[in-house]
Amino acid sequence: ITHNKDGGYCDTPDRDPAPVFFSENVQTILKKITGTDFNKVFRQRFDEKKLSPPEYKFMTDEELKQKMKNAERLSSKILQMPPVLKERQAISNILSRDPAITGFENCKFVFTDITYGLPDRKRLVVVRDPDGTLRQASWEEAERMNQIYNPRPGRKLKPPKLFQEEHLTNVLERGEYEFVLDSACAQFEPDDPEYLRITSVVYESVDKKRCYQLLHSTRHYGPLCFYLTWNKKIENLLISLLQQEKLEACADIVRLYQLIHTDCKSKMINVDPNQHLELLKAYVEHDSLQQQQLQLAIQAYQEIVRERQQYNENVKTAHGL
Amino acid sequence: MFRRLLCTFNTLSSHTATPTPLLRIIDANPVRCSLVTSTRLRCKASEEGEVQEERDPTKDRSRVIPVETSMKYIKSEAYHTTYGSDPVWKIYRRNFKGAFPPRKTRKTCIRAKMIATGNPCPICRDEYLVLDYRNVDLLKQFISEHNGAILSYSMTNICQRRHKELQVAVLKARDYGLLTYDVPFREYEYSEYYTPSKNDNKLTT
Repeated sequence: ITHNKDGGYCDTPDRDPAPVFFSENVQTILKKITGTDFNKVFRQRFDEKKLSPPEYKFMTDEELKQKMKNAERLSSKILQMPPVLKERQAISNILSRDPAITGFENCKFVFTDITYGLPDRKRLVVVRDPDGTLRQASWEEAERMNQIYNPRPGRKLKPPKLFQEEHLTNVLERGEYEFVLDSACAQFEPDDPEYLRITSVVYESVDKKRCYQLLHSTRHYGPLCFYLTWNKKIENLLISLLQQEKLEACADIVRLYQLIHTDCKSKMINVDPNQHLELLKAYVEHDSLQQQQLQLAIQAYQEIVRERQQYNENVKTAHGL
Repeated sequence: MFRRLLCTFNTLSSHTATPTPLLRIIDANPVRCSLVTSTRLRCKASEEGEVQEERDPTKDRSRVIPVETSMKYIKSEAYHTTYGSDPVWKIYRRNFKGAFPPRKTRKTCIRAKMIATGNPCPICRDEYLVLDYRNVDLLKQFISEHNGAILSYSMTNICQRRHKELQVAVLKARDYGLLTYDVPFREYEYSEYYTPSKNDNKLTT
């Protein structure tokens, strides 16, 4: 499993997913398929905060509409998707070489700009090595300094042990995907190689166990679908959506696939966007890597729909309608 | 003063009726006299070959129970008959004078590897309850079901030393991912990570 966004299938390696991810069409599709189940979005949080008793209010229709709008605005904040970026390159920016002061100390000096109001990524951190070189600090050094001077909630100086391989597999076996992804978002930057490794391991595990519903209506569902579509592994997802009879979601995923892989064959066919099943069939015929399984799933779905229709008609005739 | 010390040592040795005195005086002259102490200090009990001290087995806590045994014990029938489905601290009553308990529980129930109190706290009274980061079943009993915080010692009534052990164990378990909780929300400022340039081709369906 490569943490590089290119899973070895694409023709152009090291393709940057950021412009694709942040484009408007992709963002609307991802937000749509994430869903907003208020029971899950506004669920009880176990974050050691003091609890307050519930409030019961009497409201008019207008006030209720206003409150629902506020709830939707808040839910879109909670469902903000973590950015999908490619792996960052190591910094090698030397500001000055002063071999004359070699050996002035036996340790490095780190200088951090602690101006108030600067974002962490724009903060200047420089290091004077014992051999006299003044260079810009590496990503790890800069993050450590930022955490020391401006500690973020949920972030530790040393990454938690749960991100190490054996402990990570243990957590994923118990199915705690949301917890691992939330911890990774809090601890790492989105272009950190560690973050990319952890997210790819989690997404692969979710795909293997088909537990997409656990992440549905969370902020991680969008990046999960994006990752699977980028690496052309959407078959299991499509099958599980078909089994839940969510045709529109299937069609959205196929449209996402067409947006990401602009050179796919099914794009050439003009399909009516409202015919979700037709779009799905076009994808299965031309671009799918596991045609048989998907075709079986589509057939099973059509059978179920037909049987249900037949049953309803029989009930109607039995009642004499 | 030295002569008086010698006298007391002599009288002591005569009382114990051991043939070899603890202190030997080689010369009567106090300046030239040398203090020779026997390397094998004998006392009455060891002469008879008995154990040094008697340890009450019900209060002895010198044996260290491994975590795996504790985890097995919690799933066993003995645990179930003792505690049922309640947390281990539920059925316990603190002893104190007056109507209001002291703000803090006692410092420790166990001193010098022996229980040093008549009413030990819920953890110290059962030697098979080991507070360790791997013993998740036990740790969960001390975490609030409403907001995920570690319960205070005023509610669980465990001694201060065990409360510190519990805090360390819970933090370690969270670090290893054995206990889950809700991480603080991380808000992203998209402009920090990606700024669309004007040359970008807009993707269309």
